Amino acid sequence: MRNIKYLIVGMLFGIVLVKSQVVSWFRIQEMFRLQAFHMYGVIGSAIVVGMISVLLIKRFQIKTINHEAVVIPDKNFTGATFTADSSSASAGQLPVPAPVHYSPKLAAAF
Amino acid sequence: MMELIKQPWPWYVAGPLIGLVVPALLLLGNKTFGISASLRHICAACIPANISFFKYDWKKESWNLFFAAGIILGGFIATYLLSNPGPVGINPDTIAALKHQGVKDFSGLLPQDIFNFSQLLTLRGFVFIVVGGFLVGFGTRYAGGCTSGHAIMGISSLQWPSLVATCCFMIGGFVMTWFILPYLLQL
Repeated sequence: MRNIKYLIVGMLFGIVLVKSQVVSWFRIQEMFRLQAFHMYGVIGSAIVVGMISVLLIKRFQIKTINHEAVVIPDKNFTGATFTADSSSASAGQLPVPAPVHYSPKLAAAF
Repeated sequence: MMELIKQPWPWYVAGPLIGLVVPALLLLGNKTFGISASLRHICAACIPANISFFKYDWKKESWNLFFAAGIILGGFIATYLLSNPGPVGINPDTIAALKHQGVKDFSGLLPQDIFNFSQLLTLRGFVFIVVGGFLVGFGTRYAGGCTSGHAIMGISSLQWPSLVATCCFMIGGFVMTWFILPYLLQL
């Protein structure tokens, strides 16, 4: 039942996606034809707010509601985001470039 | 107030709200914002098929499935309770260009003349719905994230691979829109 909170966050997120029309095929067309600022505004301001939030969490070492330290795993170029990261590469299915674990920790700057 | 909510929301309201999902998930339980991983979890849960890519404890990631289910629920609520039905107010130039390329229906969020069950078994409908869906599923897993996981979560936390992925998403979108889509619409 502790997953219900994610259902609620997802629900609010889904409402925003529809209300801002970013789910619209037409909005996406408009974006890639450079005929409106709307989508760029949505994505850009979301990134800015997200970035400030992450900065504040790190700067003030804000804890989760369960009093755990916040950990953000590194993204890497291998394909998947966690656990069996290199599994598909080792299975020979995906042509992964040589420096697979290239992740300069920019985040270490603060 | 209700009338204000029922109108389409401008970018400066929607964007910051989407950005706030990042700290919300981090603080609720150390979860990193992302949606497309749910596709992998569903595969791992339903058809692992002895593939190493699907051999992991997907139950640990079940929060992501609740999150994805919430998005669907929220979409229904927004569409049926919080919106006035009608066309999306896009730039008339976009409408003119799409009409010229063969799109007919502009009454909703998607062109109904393409994204429709009755179109599924036509060549054009199959390409848009099935081939397009395959590319979304394959591409997001190959890249390790979609617009949420890379563009918003990844760039927010200053991750270089996410910036590369986002630039590539944009290039892909421009190439598709300008050079490929006009031909697909003619199918």
